[in-house]
Amino acid sequence: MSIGHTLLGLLEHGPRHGYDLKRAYDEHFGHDRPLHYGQVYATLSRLLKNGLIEEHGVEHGGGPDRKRYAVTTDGVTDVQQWLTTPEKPELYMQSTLYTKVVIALMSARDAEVVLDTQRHAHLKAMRALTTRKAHGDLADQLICDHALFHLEADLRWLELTAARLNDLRKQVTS
Amino acid sequence: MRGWLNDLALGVRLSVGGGRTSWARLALSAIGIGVAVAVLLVAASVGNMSDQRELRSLADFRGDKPIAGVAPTYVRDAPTEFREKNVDVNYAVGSGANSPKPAGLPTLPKPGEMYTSPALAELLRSDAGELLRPRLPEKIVGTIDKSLVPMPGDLIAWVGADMSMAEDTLAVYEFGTVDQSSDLDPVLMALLLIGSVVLLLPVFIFVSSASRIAGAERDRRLAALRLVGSGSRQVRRIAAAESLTSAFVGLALGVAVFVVGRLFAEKIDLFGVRVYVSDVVPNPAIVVLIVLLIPAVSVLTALFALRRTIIEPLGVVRQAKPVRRRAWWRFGLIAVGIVLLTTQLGAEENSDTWGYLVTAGAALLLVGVPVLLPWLVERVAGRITGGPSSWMLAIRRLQLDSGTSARVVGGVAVVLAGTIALQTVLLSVEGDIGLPGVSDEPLGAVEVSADAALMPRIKADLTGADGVQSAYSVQHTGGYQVGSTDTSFGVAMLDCDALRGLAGVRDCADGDVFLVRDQYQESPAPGTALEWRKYANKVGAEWDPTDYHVTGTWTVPRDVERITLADQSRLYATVLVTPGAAGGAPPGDGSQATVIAGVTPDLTADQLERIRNSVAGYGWQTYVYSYNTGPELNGNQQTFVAVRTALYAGSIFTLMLAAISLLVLALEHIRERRRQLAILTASGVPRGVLGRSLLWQVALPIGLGVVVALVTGVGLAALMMRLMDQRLSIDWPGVAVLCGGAVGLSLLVSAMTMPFLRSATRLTSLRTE
Amino acid sequence: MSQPLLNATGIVKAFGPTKALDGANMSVHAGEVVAVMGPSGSGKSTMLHCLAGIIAPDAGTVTYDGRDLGAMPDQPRSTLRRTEFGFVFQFGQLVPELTCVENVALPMRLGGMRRREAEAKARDWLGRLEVGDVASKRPGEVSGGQGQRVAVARALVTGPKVIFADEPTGALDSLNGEHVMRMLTDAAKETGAAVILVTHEPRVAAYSDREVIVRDGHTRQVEFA
Repeated sequence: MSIGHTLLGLLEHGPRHGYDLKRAYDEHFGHDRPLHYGQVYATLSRLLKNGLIEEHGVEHGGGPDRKRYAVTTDGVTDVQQWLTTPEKPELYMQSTLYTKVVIALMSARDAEVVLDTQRHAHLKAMRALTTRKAHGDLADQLICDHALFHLEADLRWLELTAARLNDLRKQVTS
Repeated sequence: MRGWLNDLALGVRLSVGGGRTSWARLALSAIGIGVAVAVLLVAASVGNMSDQRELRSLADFRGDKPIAGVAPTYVRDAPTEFREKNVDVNYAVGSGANSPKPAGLPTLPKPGEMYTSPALAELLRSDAGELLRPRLPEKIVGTIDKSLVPMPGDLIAWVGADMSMAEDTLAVYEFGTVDQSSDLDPVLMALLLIGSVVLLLPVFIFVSSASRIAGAERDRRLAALRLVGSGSRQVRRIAAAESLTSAFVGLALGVAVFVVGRLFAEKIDLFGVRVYVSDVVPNPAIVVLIVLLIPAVSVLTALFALRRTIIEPLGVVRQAKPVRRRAWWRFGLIAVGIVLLTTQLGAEENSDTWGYLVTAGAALLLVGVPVLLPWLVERVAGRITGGPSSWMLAIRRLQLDSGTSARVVGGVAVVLAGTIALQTVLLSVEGDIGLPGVSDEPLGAVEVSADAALMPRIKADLTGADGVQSAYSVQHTGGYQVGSTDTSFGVAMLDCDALRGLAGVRDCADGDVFLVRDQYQESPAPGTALEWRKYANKVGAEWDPTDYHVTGTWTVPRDVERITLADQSRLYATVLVTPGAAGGAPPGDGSQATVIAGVTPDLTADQLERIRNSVAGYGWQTYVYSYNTGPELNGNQQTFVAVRTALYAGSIFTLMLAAISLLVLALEHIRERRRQLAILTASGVPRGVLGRSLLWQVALPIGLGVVVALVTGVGLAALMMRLMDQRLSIDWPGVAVLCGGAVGLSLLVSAMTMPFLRSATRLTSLRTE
Repeated sequence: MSQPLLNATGIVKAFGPTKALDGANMSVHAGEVVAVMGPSGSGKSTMLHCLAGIIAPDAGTVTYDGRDLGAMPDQPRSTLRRTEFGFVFQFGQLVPELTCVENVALPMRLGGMRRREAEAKARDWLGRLEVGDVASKRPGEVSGGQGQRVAVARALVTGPKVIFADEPTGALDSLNGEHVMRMLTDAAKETGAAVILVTHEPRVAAYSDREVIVRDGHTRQVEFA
């Protein structure tokens, strides 16, 4: 997860201090995993060292939390490049689900049982996401949709795999 | 109850909600129903029209039974013709101050005066009537009231005469007092209505085709209603109510057309019959019947159409695979009809049973047409394989659903078959009527009958008239066999000149007697004694065959020549006597004789009128009759031509209705299959192929229908001619017109579907959003 | 566990030689949303139609509120559809000749309610589903999402106890589909109606409380501890 780029993107709107940055990040992206302060400051130092941000004044009170950072032109260019480069599609080729299901199916266990059980679990999760979406704001909706689509993709793959293996089994046994 | 009204309201609302196609269906159905209603209303008025005319002609009735204290009026008819229209001229003179008169006259006309009908007054006033005035020189002093003029255009005159006419003239003691029964015979009325319904058959078929528009959508709509919770009876009620809208609109339209059209009634001349606007009043009971029946029938038809469907929430279910039609009962029906027509089951000829059987046979044969067609189309379409792709598309479509178009064409084909049969019968009968240019033309003549004493003067007048080629006088009378009560022989006295001119006798001398062979009766044997009788003419008493006195006797001489008369001789006698052989005393009481004036073949209308005018001076004393005098047709012939024209017009009209029905079906087909057609076009099938396939779809049923109609019509006519012992002559021009018309209409209908096909196959129809 | 509102046992239904359902069972309790899932052609829609009493199964019984739907004659079943059931199908259920408000008022009018009253209630529901502005338009003149919301309004207007939804969002795009599902389930919860939702899409099934799988004519339900 490119935290550095994310912070840079957040700084594009205007200079902020670290505390503010963490809050913004958590609000938009941190739902289940809020950022540690340590992580924030570590990232900020790195960005500072690379010249992508600069200090932009100090608030009275001292201490590292009160420093305000602003993005530099270099930083903006960096963000621009990051945003316009498409993300490499995640191939999910090594997920646990995949391994487990393939083994289960290949071991001649009833494909339908595997399918139904997994579907039930997925649907349970999807239900929770749907309910959350109903009561949430736009940010909630976006992340829930994202998760829902992935879960649905899992289910679709599951159904197709079960069908393929059933077909194969029928061919072999006939 | 409220529920039913609710359903009704829903049905009406659904019938008008659907946009253009819905309005088209409503309009077409309403127009069809409107036409039917207007025709039925006219039929319902026929009773009244006929009654009123009857009343008016009976106003002229002359009661000759003596009434005490009444000085009779003497009335003599002396009708004439002007430009082939009858002019009813009545000479009247009252013998006393309060002599009776017809109710339509203000007073009895005095000598030199006359009352005329409005049409006659106008004619005499105008230039066109110039050649009529010499015959009616009297001064017009008033108009005859409508109550005495049966039809609007009738030419009637009541002319004042003097008492010299009274001798040998009917003495009338009262006018128009016959008690007439008022209503048209109910049987006739029923026949008339049934006849109208049969005539309207093509219209009914048209309406049923129109109601099929957007049928698929209606099915979906009804299914949607069922899904939402309407009961199956309720949804049928709603479906039936949908048809009510067009019924009511059609009813209103028909009544409006009738009311407006009625105002023009006096201008219409149908087979010589005209009516007053005030006569065109439909029988109220029948009007109520029509108003109640039309909506009822439309609802019942809608329900009947739904009879085999089950309307379920998921769709309308019909029988999946079409039932294969059976042939045996169709042919059986026709066979029975033919058997009845050829054998009449041995019934006695011209008996009532014979008549019924013949009618039944003809009816069965005609009914066979719409019954046979669906089977025929299905079989023919089923057998055809191969051919160009447009042909194949059409055949497959017909194989799938031939019933609809076959029924449309079938209903119309039966009218066509009937028309062809009637036309063929008429044509074969035409020879008898003597239409000019059709049969051998007899010579034209003008005959003037009058008292024998006037003959020489009349003959001189006629001989001098322009256009007269010959004039002969003949006296017809009857010679009774002595000793017998009623055996009489027709005797004609004419001079040798007349014998030469009329009978073609070359060798004639005064004193000769000729007996005629091959006449309507046997001529008397030479030596038979005949007597001339004058029968008593007691007014009011029954005719007594023995009450006569003999005015003279005459014996048929031994020395006679036998001749045969040509058909056109105009001599209706078996004995022809020259004056010399009558022994000086003219046979009979010598009262009536006739001058027969032969006219040139190319006589003009004006010349004819002048010939008539040449004997105008004799007024009530003569009776003038002309025939075959020119290309104009007489009454009988006019009726015949009018009937034939009506038949042609009727068949063209029914063909057009069929064409429109087929057009509606074709357009509906295009609409239903819009998507498939668009996809076909998009995948490269040329539009021309699709267009031609529509042409075949229309042409094949029409073609088969015309063939079947032709065969049935000619067959029926042949069988009828056989019954009448007449020669069959087929109206080939008429047949060609009908067949050509059918072909032309198929092409026209197909051409009219082209723009719709074009718009349906535009690729934008493929849009799914 | 309370008695199920709608209960189907041993349902067998064949169309010609193919058996769409061969011993299927299902029960629905009041107020719950049940998804019926399965591959296409698996008989899900047939199950729905049997549950609603639209189709009579070849074998098996369907009871609604203790009443045997199979033994009911057509008239009471139609009344049931009008008063206690609601239907939302994928397409083609609105009457094209009537305006949207007339469509929504239709079940009430068929029951004999006066036009004015029925249309007032209809307008109310159209407003609640945020399609009040299409009231006087015809179904052909509105967008897919609006049309489905009108259909939902029609399903809900009589205050039904069960709503039968067959792929209600099948013809809609994701966003419109989401709106429709949200409104349907919210309104159903509000009025206490049960929803039987036939779908093959997991995201749509995610709006349900539980799912029933139909496969090869049989039903399966998975329970976890």
